Amino acid sequence: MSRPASAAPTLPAGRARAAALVLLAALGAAIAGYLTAVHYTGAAALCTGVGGCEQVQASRFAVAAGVPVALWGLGLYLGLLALAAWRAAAGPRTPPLARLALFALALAGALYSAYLTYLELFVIGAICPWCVASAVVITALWALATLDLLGGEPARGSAPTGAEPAVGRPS
Amino acid sequence: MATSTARRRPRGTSARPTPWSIGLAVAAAVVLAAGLIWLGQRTSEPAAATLADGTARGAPDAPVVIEEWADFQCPACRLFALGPTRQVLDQRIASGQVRLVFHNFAFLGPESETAAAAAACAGEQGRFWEYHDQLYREQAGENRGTFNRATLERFAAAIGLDGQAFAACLDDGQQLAAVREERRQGQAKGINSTPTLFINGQVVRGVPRPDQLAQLIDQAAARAGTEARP
Repeated sequence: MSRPASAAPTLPAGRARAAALVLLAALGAAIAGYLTAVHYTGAAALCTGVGGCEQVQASRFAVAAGVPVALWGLGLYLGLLALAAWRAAAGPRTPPLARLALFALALAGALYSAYLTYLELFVIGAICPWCVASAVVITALWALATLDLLGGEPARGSAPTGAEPAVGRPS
Repeated sequence: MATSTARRRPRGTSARPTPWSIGLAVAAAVVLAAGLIWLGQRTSEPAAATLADGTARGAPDAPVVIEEWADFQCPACRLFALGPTRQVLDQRIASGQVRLVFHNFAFLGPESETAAAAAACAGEQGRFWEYHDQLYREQAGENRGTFNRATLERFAAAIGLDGQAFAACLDDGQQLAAVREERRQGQAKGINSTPTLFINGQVVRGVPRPDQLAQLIDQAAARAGTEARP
């Protein structure tokens, strides 16, 4: 039973993806942290002349279940950062469950971000550049997490973990 | 080489997730996002309607009364009404500590007056606070047609007011006269900017930070408690 020579255990692309995931999650956490601070201090957000920050921040959609949306975002990004750091540290030995969690959390964030963008455009009628930046970051995170999940380390003949359903494959 | 790699690899750690597990992850993500959206929608319903009493909201016997003088075209008033201070006010009103009383100080032009009159007409149908929120949400510049007759009627329809009664109220002009009279009363109290707040009589000009507002309320409540004791 021979293996192709290209079956290296760690692909450079995998490492680059892991590093990019960490960087993007950190960037997202910084943006959400800033917006959380703006919410609690009542300071005006730096809007770089584009405007709309105050209007979005003052909207009734800025708080969900008594928690500022920015703080929900911060929690999401910190969770993603922890998972991405784990992914980067563990390399090819990252448990599939961790990559699945990274993918699921990023997808949830991207979906929620799409909803918030819809609110900005069609309900609030104002765009907050920081929110757009966060939407771009979470979408990129989700795209990378998807690539990482589907195109990660090759799986040849390894046994599934207990947490995953064992799908029968012809062997 | 390949054999040793396979031997060192912990069981399952580099396995590609199965379609089943990916499907479960997608479902979990959708449920999580939908849950957040649901929570947001549930809590974004204006709390103004609770404890509302005309242009006041909060328990009538609340120890702290905040009188707010505002103009619907004033951006700072909008920030006070819908920004971070809103959460502080909603919490303190819900706890029975604060009663907020709204007064018109419509001094930024004709659309300030028409917007204030329209809010009063909404108040005749018991919906002042919903209309108040709607006006602030729609605020965009001064006297540029944002609060003209057609848009004011559209806002009324948006919150489900009786359109005919609302239009009749706007037509008879009584609320407009009342708005102008209230501005004269505000001027007599020395108001020249909005928002101006009176927290148990203590004047606060401009929009306080949420922590400052909470502190001012606590101080006023403490003073009220001291005065109430024999």
